[in-house]
Parts: sequence; C-alpha cells; structure tokens
Amino acid sequence: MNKVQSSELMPSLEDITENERAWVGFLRLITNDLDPAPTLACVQAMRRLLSPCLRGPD
Amino acid sequence: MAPMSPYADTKLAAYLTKRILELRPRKSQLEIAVDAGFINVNMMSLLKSGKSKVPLDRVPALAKALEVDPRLLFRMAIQQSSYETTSEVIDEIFGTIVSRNEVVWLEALRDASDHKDPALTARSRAALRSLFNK
Repeated sequence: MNKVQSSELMPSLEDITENERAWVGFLRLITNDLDPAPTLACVQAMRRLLSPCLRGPD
Repeated sequence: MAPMSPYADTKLAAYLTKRILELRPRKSQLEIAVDAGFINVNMMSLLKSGKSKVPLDRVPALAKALEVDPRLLFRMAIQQSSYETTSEVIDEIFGTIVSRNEVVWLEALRDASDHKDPALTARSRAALRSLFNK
C-alpha cells in the first residue's frame, strides 16, 4: 500500500496510508465534519470490528 | 444580485454557531472576536450567519480563540471558499490534513488492527454508521 504524506506534525503519527485516508474520509462524511473525539466505547467497538479483519477480508 | 448570506449553508458557519454556543458559559462572542483579532466586533455574527467567510489568515487566531483544532478550521475554511481544487492541491502537495482527533482515531485504528492497515469494507462502514447512529 502506497504511503500518503500526512500534514499532521504530531510525532506519534507516521504518514497515513490510502486505506487510512479512506477511513478518515468516511468518518468525516458520517459525522458531518464535526471532528468527534473517539470515546472509549468507540475504541472498543473498533477493536471488535477489526478482529475479523485480521483473519482475512470479509 | 448577490445573496445576502452566501456562506450560510457552509459547514464552517454551522460549526462556528455550535462552538460559540458551547463556549458561551465561559466566553462571550465578543471575547472570541477580540481574541481572534477581529477589529469588527460583529464579525462573529457575520461569520455565523454566513454573511462573511473566514479569511484564511485568521484561521490560527480564530482556532485559538475558539479552542479548536486549527487544522479542522483550516479545512473548513478552504471548503467555505469553494476552493475545492485548492483543497485537492493542498492534499496532493502537503498530504491529507488530519486533525488531532483524527490522529487519535487513526492510532486507535492501527492499534485495533495490529498495524495491518485494514481496508474500509462495507462491514466497517456499517459499523461506523451504527456508532454514530447514521
């Protein structure tokens, strides 16, 4: 996967990938660009969601 | 004849209205305008109503006054100016502008996926929609 340069200067984040850009784009779409902070419940839901991804594509 | 509020339907106008309301208990609209360096103290009203657009050079100070991420505000200001092609060029040259909150989302995504760079699938979209009741 090609890397996409990120303008974010926070040292903890490396350049984002095309896939990550798609995630961010979709997040912006469904939140109407309101930039919500992820809650604990969201992070837990994301973990549950991505477990099957590790086993292969759906 | 030009519309009275050409920017009324932009995301930035709605966002400013929401953010000013959130800050109201501890910061007045006037204080925000002064902190942002606007000479015209009615500027926040003009921006909220969409009669004026946010000048790009005011974004850093306005973001500070509103206590929000300047990257988010900058992205919205670019959209408000209808600089869609400019926005694309900025992305192409400087990379995707991500906010602090988006950095946290991406870090959570990487952590949850064990840095496998998961694709955004139909299943992922559905799950994200349900998280936000969409």
